[in-house]
This record gives sequence, C-alpha cells and structure tokens, in this order.
Amino acid sequence: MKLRNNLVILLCGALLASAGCKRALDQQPNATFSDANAFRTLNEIQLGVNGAFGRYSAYANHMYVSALLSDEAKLGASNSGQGALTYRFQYGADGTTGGDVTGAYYGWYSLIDQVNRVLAQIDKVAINPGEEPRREVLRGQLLGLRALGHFHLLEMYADRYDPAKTGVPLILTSCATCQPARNTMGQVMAQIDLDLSTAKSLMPAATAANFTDTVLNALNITGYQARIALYKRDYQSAINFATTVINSNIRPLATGTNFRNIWTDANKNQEVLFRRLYTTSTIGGLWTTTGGDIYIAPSDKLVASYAAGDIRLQAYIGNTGGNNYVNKFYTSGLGGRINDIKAMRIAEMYLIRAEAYAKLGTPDLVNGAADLNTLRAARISGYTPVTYATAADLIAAVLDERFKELAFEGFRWFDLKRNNLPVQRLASDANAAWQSLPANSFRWILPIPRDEIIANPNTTQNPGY
Amino acid sequence: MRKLFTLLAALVLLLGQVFAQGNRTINGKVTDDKGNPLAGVTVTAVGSDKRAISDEAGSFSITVPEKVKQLRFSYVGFVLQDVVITGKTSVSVKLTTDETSLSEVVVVGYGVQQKKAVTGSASKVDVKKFANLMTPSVDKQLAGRAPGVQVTNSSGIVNAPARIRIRGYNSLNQANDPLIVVDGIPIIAGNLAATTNSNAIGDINPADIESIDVLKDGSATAIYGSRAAAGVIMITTKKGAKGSAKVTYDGYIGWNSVAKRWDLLNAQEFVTISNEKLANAGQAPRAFMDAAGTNTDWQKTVLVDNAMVHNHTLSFQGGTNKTTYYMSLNYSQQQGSIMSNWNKAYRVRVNLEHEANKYIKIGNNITLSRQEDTDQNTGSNSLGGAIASALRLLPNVSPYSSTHPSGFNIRQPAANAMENGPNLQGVDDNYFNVAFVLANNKYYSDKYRIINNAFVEVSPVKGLKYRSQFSVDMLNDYSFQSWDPRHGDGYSGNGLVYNANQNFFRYVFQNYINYNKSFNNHNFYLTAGHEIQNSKTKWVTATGQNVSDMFFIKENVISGSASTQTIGGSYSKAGFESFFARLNYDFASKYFLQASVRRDGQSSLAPDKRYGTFPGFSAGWRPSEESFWKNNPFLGKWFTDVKIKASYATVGNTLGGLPYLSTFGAAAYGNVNGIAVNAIGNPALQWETSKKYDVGLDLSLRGGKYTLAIDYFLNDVDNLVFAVPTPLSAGIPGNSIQQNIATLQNKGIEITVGANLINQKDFTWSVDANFTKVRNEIKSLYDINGAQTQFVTSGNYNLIKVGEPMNIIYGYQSAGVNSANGNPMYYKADGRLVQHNIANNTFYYATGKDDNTFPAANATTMTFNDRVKLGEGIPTWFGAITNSFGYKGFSLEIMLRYSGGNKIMNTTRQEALMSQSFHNNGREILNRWTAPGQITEVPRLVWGQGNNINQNNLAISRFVEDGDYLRLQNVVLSYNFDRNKLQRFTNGYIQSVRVFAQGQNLHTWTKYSGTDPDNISTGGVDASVAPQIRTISFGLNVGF
Repeated sequence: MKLRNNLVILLCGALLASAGCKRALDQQPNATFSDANAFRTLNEIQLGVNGAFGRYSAYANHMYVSALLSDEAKLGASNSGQGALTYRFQYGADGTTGGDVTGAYYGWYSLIDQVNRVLAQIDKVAINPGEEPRREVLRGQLLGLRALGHFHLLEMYADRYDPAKTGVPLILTSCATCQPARNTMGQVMAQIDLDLSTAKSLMPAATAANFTDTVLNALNITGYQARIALYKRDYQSAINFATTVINSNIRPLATGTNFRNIWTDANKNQEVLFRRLYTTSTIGGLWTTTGGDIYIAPSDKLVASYAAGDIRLQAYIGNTGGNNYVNKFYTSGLGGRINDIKAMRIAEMYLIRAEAYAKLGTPDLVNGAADLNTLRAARISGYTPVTYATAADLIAAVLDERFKELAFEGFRWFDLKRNNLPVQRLASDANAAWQSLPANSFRWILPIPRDEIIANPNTTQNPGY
Repeated sequence: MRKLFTLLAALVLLLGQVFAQGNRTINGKVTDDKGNPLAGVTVTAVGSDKRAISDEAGSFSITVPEKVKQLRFSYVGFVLQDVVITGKTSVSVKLTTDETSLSEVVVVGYGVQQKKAVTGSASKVDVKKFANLMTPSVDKQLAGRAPGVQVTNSSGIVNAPARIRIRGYNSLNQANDPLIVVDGIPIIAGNLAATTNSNAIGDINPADIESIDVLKDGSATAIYGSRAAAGVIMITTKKGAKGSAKVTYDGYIGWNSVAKRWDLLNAQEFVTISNEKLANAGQAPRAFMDAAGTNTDWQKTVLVDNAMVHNHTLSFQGGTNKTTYYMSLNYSQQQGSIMSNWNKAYRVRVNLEHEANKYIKIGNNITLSRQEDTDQNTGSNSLGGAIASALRLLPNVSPYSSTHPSGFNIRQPAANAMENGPNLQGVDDNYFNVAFVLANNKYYSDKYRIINNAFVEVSPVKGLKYRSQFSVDMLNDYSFQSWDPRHGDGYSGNGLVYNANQNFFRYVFQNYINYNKSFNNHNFYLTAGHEIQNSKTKWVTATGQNVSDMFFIKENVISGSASTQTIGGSYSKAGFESFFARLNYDFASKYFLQASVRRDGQSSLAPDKRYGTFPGFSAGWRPSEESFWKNNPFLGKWFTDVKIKASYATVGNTLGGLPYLSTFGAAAYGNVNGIAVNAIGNPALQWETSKKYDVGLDLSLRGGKYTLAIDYFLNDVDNLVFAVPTPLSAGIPGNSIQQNIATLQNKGIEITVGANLINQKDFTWSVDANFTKVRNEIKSLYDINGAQTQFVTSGNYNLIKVGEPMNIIYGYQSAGVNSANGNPMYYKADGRLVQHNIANNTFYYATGKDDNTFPAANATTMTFNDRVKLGEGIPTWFGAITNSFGYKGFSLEIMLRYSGGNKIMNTTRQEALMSQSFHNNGREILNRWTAPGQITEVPRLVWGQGNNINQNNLAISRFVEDGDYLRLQNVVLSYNFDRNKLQRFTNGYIQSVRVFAQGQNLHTWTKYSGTDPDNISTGGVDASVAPQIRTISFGLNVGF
C-alpha cells in the first residue's frame, strides 16, 4: 500500500515535470507574423506598405494584356502557345482559356487586400513622438495604391468610362468571406478620386531632393490624377494635373544614352515618375525568355511606325537572327531580364496634356501641338515642329505618338478602348481571323474570372462570356 | 576442452555439495521440441532463490535445498515448464515453443494484449517471412503481408518510401499515411531529404525488427486519438534474452536489374517513323542513318542491369539475471533502377534493459543511423529527366563524342543541345544528353539519425506497472546538388550548386500505468497515462548560380565561387499533448469488452478548438469457450476457437502547420524588405474525424490447422478539410479558406485464410492468403450559398466527384481512328461520334468511322462537359497468397501478390512513346494509320501535332489501361544445416547456419502495357517513372 502511495506521488511528479504541456501547445509561427502580432511598430507598418508596393506587380499583367490584345505585338518566332488564345481574341472566363486576361483581377484585389489589412492596423501601432508625419505618408501611399488597384480594374473589367455602368466591387475593408456585388463605375471612381486626393494631402510637396520614384508621392499621384482625368474625359483637370507634374521639372524628358538607359535600369534617375522595383524576378521574360526564346515580338506595324532617326527604334526594338524582339526590359545589369516596371514616365504627361488640349470643348491646337513637338524633339534627331489644322488630326497624331512612345508599357489597347477605336493589325502580323477587333465587340470588356463567378453569387459576368 | 570444462565444473559443484549440508545437485539438459539443445534457459528452484542458466549444450547444473520439489524452466519464446525432481539427480527437459508469447500477442498502444482478447482489428505481420529479403527498408516489404493494408512501391527509386494506405484513403488533402510507432514512440517518417528521395523509416534496420502489428479499426487505433485515422503501424525491435551471448551474422548479396524496360524503336525504325511524321506535316526528311549504323539504346545509359547490392548485419544478444542486451551493426548498399539512384545505410542499435531491483526496471533503446542517398532529375517531362529523356533521345545518335572535351555528344560551340548526328535537326525540345547529365549532375543527401528511448518501469505491487519513457528523435539532412554548366539543367544558369541543411527534432515524453486484476474469472486490464510531444523543424539553404569554374561544383557550396547567390530558411514548431485511458474486461476468456478514450491537444488549432476527445469501444465473444460448444462433438472438434467481435470508435486526422492563423510572410519589394499577407487561417478548424465501425469473425478449425478471419469495416469520414473557394475580389492568398466540410466513406471486407495442409516429420506445406476489397466514396464536398458543389478537378486527369471514389480518371472517350484519313475519333457526352481533323485542328461530327468529309456545318468542339469517367485511379481489391514448403532442412516460400479494380492513365505512352515530335517512340507507333481502309488504333502521324493527336494533359480512353495484375513477388529457398552436426564439426563454435536464395518481383501477369502497374500516382497516373527492380540475392545466416 505504501508503495502504491509512492507510485501515485511519482506519477503526479512526472505529470508536473511535463507541465510544459500548455507551452507545448502554444506555438506561434516563427517564419511568419501571425495576423494578431504583425503590426506593433511603425517599422512593421512600413514593411506592410513595402509588401503592398510589391503587389503592384500586377501591372506586369496589364502590360502583357495590352500588348497581346492590341496591334503593338505579334506572336514571336519561338512562341509555342504563350498568350496565343488571347492574341487571337479567343479568351474566356476560364483559367484554361482566359488566364492571361483574368489574372489581373486577383492581382489587383490582392494589392487592395494587403492595403486594407495594413490600413486597419496603422492607427493601432505605438509610434514615437515625431513619427506622425511618417505615418501619414505611409497612410497616403496605401490609399494611393488602393486607388490605383481599383483604377486598373476598371480599365480592364468595365466598359468605357460611364458613371452609370457596372464597375467592379469596391473593397475598402478586408473580408475573406464577403460576396460583394459590383459597384457602378461612378461609385468606384468617386472612391478613387477621394483616395488619391486624401493621399496627396498627407504627403509633403515633391522636390528634387525628396523625390523617390519607387514609391507613391505627391508628384506621381498628381500624374495618376492626370491619367485618370483623361480616362474619365475631364480634360481641363487632366491639363492642370499634367501641367503640375511637367512644371515641377523633377524628372524632365531624357535624351540620347540617358533615354536608352531607362530600359536597362543602368541609369535610374531619368524620366520615370513611378516604377515597380524588381531585383529578382523577370519582367522582360514576358516577351523574351532569358534563354532568348522570343514569345511576344513587336508588330511589324510598330516597327514600321518609327521614322529614321527616331531614338525609340533602337531603344525599343532589337533584332537577332532576323527576328525583332522587344528591347524594353531586355537587357539588365542583374541578368535574367530582371527590370523595373516603368509604370509612369514624364513623356506620358506631355501626351496626356496634348490629347486633353485637343479634346477640350474649345480645342487648344497650339498648346496641344507644342506638347507633341516637345516630346518628338526629344526623340527624333533633326525634328521639325508641326502644326495641326483640326482637333481630329491632333488627336490622331497624339494617339499615334502614344503608340510609338508607350509601346509595351501597358497603354495601347486601353488607349484604343478609351477612344472607341478598333484594333487593326497588319496581315504580316496576324492571320485574317484575328487581324481586327471591332470597336463594338463585347471583348473590350474582359471577362470576370470564372472562379469569382463560382464563389460569389452576388457578382455578374460581363456580357458575351 | 569443453569436456574438461564440464568436468571441472562438476568437480566444483561436487565440492560445493560437500560443504553445503542439506543441499543437493540436479544435473540435466534442456532441448527444444526437436531435440536441439537450448542455451540460456533459466532454471529456478521453486521455493528458493537458487538459479542456474543452461549452457550452450543445453546442460545445466543446479544446487538446491532439500525442501525444493520442483524446478522451473523459463525461456523467452517457450512455454514455462515445471518439473518435479523428487528423487531425481538428473532431468532432461523438452521445452515447447510458446506460440502465445511470440505470435499470439498483439502490440497495442501503450501495452500488449493476448491475441485472443483483441476485439479490435489488428493484423500481425509475420516478420520472419521477409526477414531474409534484400530490402532498403521495412515499408517496402509490407505489401501483401496483411489484409486491409495497401502498399504501393510506385517506382524503382530505391529510397522513395512506399505508399501505405490502411483501409483506403481517408483524407482528400491531408495526410493519408499511417502513424509509425517504434517501441511505443511515434517516429519521424517520410520523404524528407532536400535534394533526393529519402526514407526516414529506412533508419530502422529491418533485421532489428521483432514484430510488426498493424492497427486498423477504430477500437484498436482509438488510443492514438487524433492521429489514428490512417491507421497505426506498431514496430517492436528485438530485445536480448537472459542467457549466454548469441552472435549472429546475416549477410546478403544480390543483383538488381530493371524488371521490364520500354520497347522502343531502333534507329532504322526511328528514321522511317520520323520522316513519315515530317512528310505528313509537309516537311522534307530529316532523319537518316549514319554510315556506321549507329543504334543507341538510350535506356542502357540510364537503367541498371545486374547492379550489385549487399547488406550485412552483425548482432549480439544475451543477458545476465538482471540485464539483457541486444546490439546490432549494419551496413547496407542498395541500388535503384536508375544508375545514379542508390542508398547506403549504416545502422547501429543497442537495446538494453536492467532490473535494478524487484520493483524497478530501467532500459534504453538507441538507434544511430546514417543514410546516404543519391538521385537524379526525375521530372516526367523535364528536359533532364532521366526517364523522360531516355525515352525521347534519338537512337541514331551516339551519347558519346571523341571531339567534345567532356567525352559526351554535346553541340559545339556552346548551345544547350546535342549534335544532330546524321539527322538534319537535333531532338525536338532539345532534351539533354542524359548520359552526360547522369554522369555530371549530382543529387546527394547525407543524413544522420538518432532515436533514443530511455525508460523506467516500476512494478510496486502485483499487476501494476508504471512506465515512464522519454524519447528523442533527431534527423539531420545535409543535402547537396550540383548542375554542370556545360550542358543540361545547369547550362542556362551557368552551373548551379545548392546545399540544404535540415534538422528535424522531436521529443516524446510518456507516463502511463498498466494495471491488471483478476478474480473469479473476471479479468480487468487498465491502461492510463499522459503523453507530450514537441517537434522542431529548421532548415537553411544556399544556392549559387553562375559558378566561376566547374572545379567548384564538386562537393559543396564554396564561398565566393558563384556570382548569383540565394539563401533560404525557415523554422517551425509543433506540439501535442494527450491523456489516454483504456479498460479491458473479460470474463473467463469468453466475453470481452474494451473501452478507450484519448483526449488530444494540438498546437495547430486555435486555442479554444485545441482539444478533442476520441472514444472507442469494442466487444467480443468466444462461443468456443462455452461448455455447450466444447461438449458438442461437432462444434468442439471442428471449430476449436471462434471469436465474434464488433467495434466502434471516433478517431481523428491531424492538421499540419498552423492553419488557424492568418499570417504575414516576408515579401520583399525589389531589394526592400517587406511583409505581405500569405495565408488566411480559419480559427474554427478542427481535426478531420473518422467514425470507424468494424465487425469480425475469427475462426480456428481443427485445433488451428485451418484459420479464417473476416472483417467488415465501414468508415465515415467527416469534417474533411477542404479549401472552399472565396471570391477573387477578397484578394486573399489561394482564393480559398480551409473548412471542415467534406465527407467521404470507406467500406470493405478483409479475409485472411491460413491452412497447414501437410505437417509431417520431414515435409510441411502451409498456405496463407488474404484478400481485401475497399470501396471509397465521396459523400459531399462543399456548398456556396446552399448550392452543393458536385465535383472539383484534381490535376489534369482526375476528378473528385460526389458519389464516386476519390480520383476517378476523367476524360474523353476515344472511338478509335478514322480508317479513311487516320484522324483520331471520340464520342461526345451525348454519344455522337466526332473526328478530330488534325489538319485544321477542328472537331467534326462524323457519320461513321470512315467519314472523310468536313462540312463546316458539322464542326463542333470537345469541352469539359464531354469528359466522362474512364476508370478509378485507386486499386479496389488486393491481397496475396503465400505457399510455404519444408522438407528436412530445406524450406521454400512462394508469395504471389495481386491487385486490381483500377485503371491507369498512361501518360508515359501518351506524351513520350507516342510523341509526334522529333523524338524516339515506342514500338506501338509502328501500327500507325498509313493508308485509307486501314483499321488501327494508332492515328496518322503528323510532326508537331502531338498535343492534338494525343490530347496531352488530358485523359483519353486510348491511354487508359487496366491496372489488374498478379505478381510473383518473392521466392525464397533456404537450407538450414543440421544443428547437431554443425556443432560437432565446429566444436560448438557455430551454432547454426542457414543459406538462402531469393528472388523478388520475378514476374508480373498483367495487361498493362507500361513497365509496371504499380508505377502509379495516387491519381492512377503513370508519368515516366523509373521502372521496378528485380532482385536476385543470396544470403547467409550464421549463429555463433
């Protein structure tokens, strides 16, 4: 009996020894932050903001889709199906046929989700005295990114801008299981405008000294306001915003070697207003693999559009073994076609302002032509300025210049869509079956991904899919 | 010498007797039932503390007080025997083998049970049956050994763990692997090395294993609670026995060859076929024979033929009155079917037990193991994949070259391709020269393992035992990989070196009691205790690309030798805490009841969901113990032992990681550090739960001459974790949230039959057979706003569909080949015949199998909705039949194994053997359609149209084949030298000698056209995996 008592004591002792059990079960992740303790300091908010900027990588898809769907690209010599269905306007809502055009839908919403998650914590972190301005700048960057995400979604998955038409779901708080309906384009746009103006109000005025093109700041947000004003046909605002950016003279037009170096990241202080920084993953690989396989090539139409003496011909188009390739993002000091996405350049501001002048109620053909001439003079050696007799001529010239200047930067197809113009490819670029996309085709509004339709009964598919 | 010793001993004893008044000496000899002397038998004088141990001749001598009337003879594995010594000075004792202690005890969780008392379902694997087979690890030998246990060695990769499924697949996307418990401790298992296949179970030397018990039903496994859903495999290692030391050497040497190769085109056939492919695509011929008539069999550069393998174990066991030990040393070298794939193991075990006093026993079991593994690129479509390239490389091109400095055929100047040889082009897709790749790329892993298990057992009063054991399991993997910059995978990155160091650490601390109490035929047996387990996993990797010189890619990453450098690493922890109890009751060995409960806590679940309770119940009745049965002349004579049993339990399947938490992970923005949300958790997550039902009947006829066991089982699995889709607009990682939502069911029957057909003095013949049939059915998946989801796709070929078993193969129904034009034909879902016009890649409705018209109005498409079920990917029935013969010293064992009910999607055939690119092919392609009117199953060849003609990445019935087979798994012939003669000839130094000749995987009867019907994934897909191995080996056991 005595022994039995001893045994009971022993057993209890052993259980006590293993009283670490509670701790054994209380395991926190060591390689990741758990949601609950991710944000305790402003530095961690900064990390979250950086993570959000990382998700601007969805813009790579924007560039890819614009090239595949427009007349600036053709399938390359080594293409074995990459982007082919999209190029042939045979895309659908399904991942098997529409992966190229539906990928950005999740991409932008994952940016928005990251923003909303960090925004939800930004006022909860303990900050040191004097850190408030930095916090407000970070808040501004988050709001700016959220606006850009919503804007790019509208560009892809909604019609030409009309406030009454169906837009995309406006997501302002993080919610994994919500099933949001689509807001109108006007509702989404109102939030975009609010987010951008709030963002700018939280940021110090841009100066040459404080300007950084890898993050959002007062200057490039103004640039986006110009782009968006043009998108929603608010031409006077577009002129005003573009003028602010141009007059700041922080990133003037580049010429010569400096211009060519923009595309190799050899000289990062030229022209670019906003870039998505890359140091490991390939961007140029969208067009040409690291091994040199050309999947997507510049169209003959694009190559032929450059006049002799146009620096862009060399800077944008390369040739190997008789095959043209996209020289933008091709060469990289980091190897592997690792290159930053140039999401906004000063050249676009001249083009926005020129187009806006031409589209004003009373077109201003002189100032519009002046912007176009300024840009061309920087690109074409021995350029002689031209004048335009009608607004239509000027608009056509601006669009042609955008085609040449902004090729493979994610503009062409959206420019055609914005201006209600068809895609018209050359016979040497495409089979007859996919040489054109009429302006009235349902395909200008890209399909909402099938996975969204399945998981969200409250959403609607775009017509035709 | 020996005689002299005995004489001296007798003299000493005699003297002792003179001085010890009132004592007397008894001499004698102990033998087994065949008359062989038994050494190490403990002889106790009943009623005194006098003891003696028999020597190697079985002789003993014991001095006992006069009052002692009986001697007790005890020896592990033999029935305890008491012998009356009144009036005797010498006795000779024949001990009989104790079936109960060796084979009739089942190791259950935290204890053992008499087999007759087991009311759950557990199978004992007869370890002796495969103890002498050449094998890298024990898991590979379990196939066919127990009913309900489906074991698939899905390739000839020697270090890949076998896939073990107990009573079917119980989870859709969590682990389906059984819990492996060694000497009471759940050990780390799996394929864990960073750069090679590896098998953590291989750290247990198969020769060290005393017994394996497989716990299958709910009641047997419920004591393992939340970790029991996939069954439990209990491995018990050998212990020493009291008595003089026994030294044993087991050595095997063998030769591994590929059991079946692919039947590929020779060079001349390749030229014909390739040029026909090209001609049909409007291209001029590009394939030619060279003057030398080069005819390369690329399989010879990859697959092994008569590769030598060997395995040596030296073991020592024995013990004194207080201490027993078992110790073994092992070296094993095994070879897979691909030349670069081998495994070397160096294993040491020491099992030690010591009785400190009559209350306390202490002990320690330790395993030290090192495994070296090498491997290769096994990608089924990789350009450097060993099999993928061997099947496609051109047979009229030589692997070697006298002009390239490497000695291999590589294009100069540098381009990542082979020379064309006599052809006008190289192999399409630029498959790498596999001979170069295997010779120069390296995949190597070096692993060290320590499993130590220290315990103390306290037995304070009769029937009560308290055991406390602490175990540490540590596995360290140091892996290395290098890719040669000159050619192959390493070319584009200008060489690659990679090191990974992984450390897996786990401790388990168990404290439990076993208590039994019997009175008036009522027997109680109680087990209760507590267990805690803690695991840590950490790893670090370093990768260098753009290597400065080939010199630096030999053995390890070298500082500063590569200009592109990447590091990686992570760290994770997990914990379990459990309380458990089990009560067994039986009345007169007639009526049995068992109840058990386990309460588990798991760190991967949210704090308020962390604990779960898993109860189990079972009951049994042995009518054969009833007097009416025994007294009935018919029942009593024929049905010697009959047991009817039933059980029910709820058990769980654990979740890995921390799936309840939403987390942010490192997410750099360019070269700027950042964090971003990388997982969305579900705090409501819990275990997947299995409700397991089992009813069974165990019969023993004619005193055990015939045995029969039948079990019917039903397993309702619910709360299956499934990633339920969330709207993409939520923007969360993976676009889904894991929920406990899906349900499935497994039900089936297991039958085991045994018969000792002939049991004569010189000749014995027995048969053992088992059969299992399992039906798996998905009961439900998930719903979105009330709309039930009926199916989800799983990869390219499989569908998870409500009402069907997991992983049905799903695709187009082929309708042969159009005899007019050679186009492949299909049936649409509505049964209408269509032909796939390869010329314009369009489907047309066809009026018959010779319709050569393509009116635009008949154009149609084949869509997802035209896919139909083409078969089940998982075998539904399987088993084995073993015949054992004995004739004098010879014994012969023949094991046949069978499996079937499944279909195999043969993508090796679809993508490689029938490739329409400038690749080599299988000989089936010679049956291609060539002329109108020809009836064949192989469509017209068109170069570059493989994706269209063969529908790559989609199942079509043309490539879906029957998976049924019967295999001559093992034949083992052995000869046991006569023990007495042996001892006489060797003066007693050698106690026993056995020699073996064995063959494994000798023949397979199957309609399957691939290399082996076991070469399948869990979805039933055969994707260019390494062929199976055939082993012929010879062995020697010597006991000293």
